[in-house]
Amino acid sequence: MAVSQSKNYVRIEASNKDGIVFVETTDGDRFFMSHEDAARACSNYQLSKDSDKLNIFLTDALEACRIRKRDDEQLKKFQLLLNKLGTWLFDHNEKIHKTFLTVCEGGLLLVIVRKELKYDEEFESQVTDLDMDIAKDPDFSEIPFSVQTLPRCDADGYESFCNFVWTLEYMTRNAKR
Amino acid sequence: MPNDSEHIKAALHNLDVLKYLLEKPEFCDWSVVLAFYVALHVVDAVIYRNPAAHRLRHGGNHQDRANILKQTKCYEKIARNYIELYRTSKTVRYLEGSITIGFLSNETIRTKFIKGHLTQIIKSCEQFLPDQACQQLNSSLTVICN
Repeated sequence: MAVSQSKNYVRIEASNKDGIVFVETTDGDRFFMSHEDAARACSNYQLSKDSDKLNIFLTDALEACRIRKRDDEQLKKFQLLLNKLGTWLFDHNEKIHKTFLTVCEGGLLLVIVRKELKYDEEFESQVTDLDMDIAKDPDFSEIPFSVQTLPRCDADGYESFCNFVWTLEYMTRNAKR
Repeated sequence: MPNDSEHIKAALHNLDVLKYLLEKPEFCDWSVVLAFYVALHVVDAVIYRNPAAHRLRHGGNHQDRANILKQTKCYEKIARNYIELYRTSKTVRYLEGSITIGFLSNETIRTKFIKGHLTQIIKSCEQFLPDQACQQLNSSLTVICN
């Protein structure tokens, strides 16, 4: 596989396994691209015979890689967040009736329905600790996140806080570690 | 978007309404909502005076405002009190009255939310606001807390 010598060009390097090509962009981003995608970019370059266009074709292929990479990273962070919340909910399970993760105002909203009706100062403080902790964690700081606690209420009450298209319910009550 | 003076003016107006509501025990639950809107305007005045935060907040919503508070080191104390007040005000606003009556006593509202969270937010915001605004806010708050 060709490797451009110009510092203005995308760098690509063949790896020795799984048909993957290593690509480094001019701004230092690094990706792994399939041989197929890289070959298609080079083939388009051959057809065009325009030396400037190799970079354009590779950039198109790279953009697809970038999107996949970003999606993979976001998915990984989302999974980390789900695990962190799951652990916290399990640890505070004795006070929790139901929990939902939903979307609200362009961010994630954790809706926690408590078992008791009366305001619980200690629990609210612990929820604030969780909220602050997530906001300051570099893994999650780009995910707009907040928590809504509710006193014991029926479905009419908590469902008004849940997006009807996208809501997950945490099932931790009978979970065992 | 209103400027810092207009936010302080709105906060002072809401403090007047809050005083009125606290004198009516039957509407005491809604005083948490008013306390939140006092806090919101005081916080918006602070954000307005911080060019970096103000830019982030441009066209923003409750989520954006809370994120700025949570993720800015010097606003951390404001953030803790603000998000607890915000959460509870939403509960009072969106759940039916029969639930919220058993949820918060008038005493809890006064001690925890007015003398507690709201007072803490205003005190923590003072270092970011002009002296005159602080004096006005403190004067209104003192009347409510006594």
